[in-house]
Amino acid sequence: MIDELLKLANSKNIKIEVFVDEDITTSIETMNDKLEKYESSSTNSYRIKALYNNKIVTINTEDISNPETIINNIIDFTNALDKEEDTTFARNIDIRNNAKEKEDKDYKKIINDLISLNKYKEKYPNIENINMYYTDKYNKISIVNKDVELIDTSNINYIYGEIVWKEEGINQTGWFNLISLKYDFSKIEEKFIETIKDVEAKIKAVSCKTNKYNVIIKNEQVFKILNRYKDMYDAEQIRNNLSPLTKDYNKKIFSDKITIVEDPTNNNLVGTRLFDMEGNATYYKELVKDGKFITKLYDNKNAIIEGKKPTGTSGGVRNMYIVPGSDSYEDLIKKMNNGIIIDSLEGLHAGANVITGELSLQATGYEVINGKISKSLKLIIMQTALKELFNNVICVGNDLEMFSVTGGSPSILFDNITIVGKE
Amino acid sequence: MNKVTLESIINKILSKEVDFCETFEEESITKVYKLLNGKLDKINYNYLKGIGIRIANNNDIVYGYSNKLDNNSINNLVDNLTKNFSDNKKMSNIALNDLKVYKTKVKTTHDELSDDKKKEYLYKIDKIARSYSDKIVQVDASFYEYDGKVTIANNSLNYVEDNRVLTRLIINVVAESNDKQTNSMKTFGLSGGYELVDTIDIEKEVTLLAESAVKKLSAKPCPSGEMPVIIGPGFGAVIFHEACGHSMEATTVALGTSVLSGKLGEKVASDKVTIIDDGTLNNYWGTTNVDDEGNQPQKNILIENGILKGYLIDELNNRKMNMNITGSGRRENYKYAPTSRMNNTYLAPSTDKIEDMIKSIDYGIYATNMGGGSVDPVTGDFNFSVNEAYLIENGKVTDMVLGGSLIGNTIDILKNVEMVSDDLRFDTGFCGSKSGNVPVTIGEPTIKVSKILVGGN
Repeated sequence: MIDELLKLANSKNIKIEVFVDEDITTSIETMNDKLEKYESSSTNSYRIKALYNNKIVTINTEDISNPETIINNIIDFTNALDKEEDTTFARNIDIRNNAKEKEDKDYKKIINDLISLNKYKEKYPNIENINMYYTDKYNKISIVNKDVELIDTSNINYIYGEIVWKEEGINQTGWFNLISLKYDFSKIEEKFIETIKDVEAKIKAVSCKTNKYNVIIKNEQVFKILNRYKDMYDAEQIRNNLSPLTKDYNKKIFSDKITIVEDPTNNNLVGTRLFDMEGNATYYKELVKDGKFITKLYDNKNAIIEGKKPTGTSGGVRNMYIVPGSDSYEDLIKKMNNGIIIDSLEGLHAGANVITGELSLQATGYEVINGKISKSLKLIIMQTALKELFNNVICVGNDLEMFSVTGGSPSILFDNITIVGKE
Repeated sequence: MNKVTLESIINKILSKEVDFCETFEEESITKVYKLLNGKLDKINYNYLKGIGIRIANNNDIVYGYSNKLDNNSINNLVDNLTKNFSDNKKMSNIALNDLKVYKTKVKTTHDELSDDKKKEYLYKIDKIARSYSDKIVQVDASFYEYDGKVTIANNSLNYVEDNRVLTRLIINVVAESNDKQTNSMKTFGLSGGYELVDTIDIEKEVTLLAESAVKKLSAKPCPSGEMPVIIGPGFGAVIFHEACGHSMEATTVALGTSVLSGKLGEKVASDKVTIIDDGTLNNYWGTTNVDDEGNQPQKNILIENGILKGYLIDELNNRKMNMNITGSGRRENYKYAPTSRMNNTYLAPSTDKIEDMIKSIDYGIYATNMGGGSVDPVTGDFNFSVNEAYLIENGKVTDMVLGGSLIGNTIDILKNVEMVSDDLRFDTGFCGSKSGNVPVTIGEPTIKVSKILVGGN
């Protein structure tokens, strides 16, 4: 089918390239001691990039059995577009062979593992529900054009766990995410126990006094912010005034303790890719070095517009993280001495403005007095701005953890951050 | 797939020990025309075609989907999904009823409005915004078109086809001055075609957006702390969508963990609060001809004068809850199993006057434009963002302040709705939850909340 599409495109003088995304997914949901839902899927999707009459069109489709319709759409869309642009197409790159087969999994064992977590209800009778989700995702991507066929694969395990705690008529939820290359129940159990302790503490959570505090934001929550702003380095967003870094290229934007990298070739990480969606080889790069914004990201089109090289990030960054420091999480608490730990930030899709950088986010956490946790907090708001936050860094922790294929973060100790509470 | 093929799939599944089987086929095209820098910058095109199959035996549920629609792939999918059910057949084979076909009422189809006309409209938006002030540095405007056909068949003999058409306009205006950037955004949408543009006073709406973005450049920081807040009409209803709508969806109610579980008939809100979810409103953005389980949508009164009257119930949660299905089974597309979701949710209007709300506040916030939010339906803790707000001092509206967020707990906030006006207005959005992102309308008149925590500086 792809061959037919390429031939037809060629006959119409349309340059074309097909990015093929094949997913095979199995998901398991357990509720307490029962298998709640079993899900299985197999899908192919195609992203077709075309250059015709100096216009670029991208078509996303799940069916390429009718190449004529696709070609007609490309011609119609290029007629409608106003801008003349240019792009380049994938060529052979020096890549390792990463075409792996789907790993076999013992799903019955996984179901039994997840259900076995119910034993903790004996020790913690206030646990009302334990809801666990496991997803095994095999992904194969390929890029096909008249010159090349590139292939890459990945096998990723996702876990999401949710615990509902009920005490004196009050409900409290705790949850955790895990993403890994290998299924490892001991890590799931470790996270599960941590979450039980957290949810137990949160049932008695109160609000706090509105003030400026020293604040530790735990690794996953720092990553949520980093991830929300993952497109701010994109050259097109910057050029179009749609990034908070519009005027900041080659300028100091954050504390010199902040270095943000993209590490897409690291085989130990979950987001590793050999090439991006346009067939450019991926590579390690610093986006922000010692607080200075040093790398804008370019797909092929924008690289031509600005006379740069593509950065291997078409389709988005992979394995992006803040380079860890040397302090353990416990060291950060000692260093803070008095302040607030933020362990949950919610509502980022609305409360973190991707154009202005304003952050106003519902939070939960703990108050720390003299280096010790004194009480748990909820219904508080972290009120700051992206640049203010990352300029107020005291130190970066060493607990780097990856939370998605996009990346991860260590925990960070900040100073002078506004926390709004009811008191 | 034709009727015979669907019957054969369903009957193959019914040869196992199952009591529910459903197929959901979808073929859809989504197109987005995006204007940037005064030019048509991109046309995003997305074509989906696939099938989702849901099977249950009592409360054991399996779901699978594929866009490989050849016989072999479908058989593999069915075999994979049924492998853990025994061969003790418990349901008779079925013959589907005649297909019932539904169609969104459309006055101007997506094809009827030419690309040139669509572009002209988007150019106009750019021109209006930029002519307001030279501080407007970007206008990002898009038309969103959805044309989809879904076919649902199940062993209750539901066999329906729904031809759905959605149209939306999204406008985002960015202002800049002295290295400070602000933006204002608004969306308009309906279940229908390009008659959408006839419902919009575009000159007025874009000018208001440009004015708001420019005014924000000199807005003061938002105050913080617990205070009375007036929430403007339309998108302000996100407070009810988040604060109580999600807590009334069977997804969490059936587990007994929603903050509103087991409270039917109880007073959960102030007398001023009547909340309705109505999937039948004519051509509203969140309206469906049938829900994604093939059931008729309906008007569901959820809270009436503060009393909890009902929940939103889908096909399989109705088994757990033994309550009537409300036509609320929804999903983003065939890749998601449906569950109970909101359609068009609104707070019924009352008779309070906005002037009286303002006069009653010594120090507070008038939030005239809201952003999105989120909620934990188990605890009822929710948040939503404020896009545009003004200070109220000594009973008068004074300075514009930069947006922050409002947070609270469902149970508290529902009781703190003190005044409700009569200016009911609706806005459109996408709601994300367990079964993906679905189009929803939210509506409310202006309300006064006696106290809520405001995040600011």
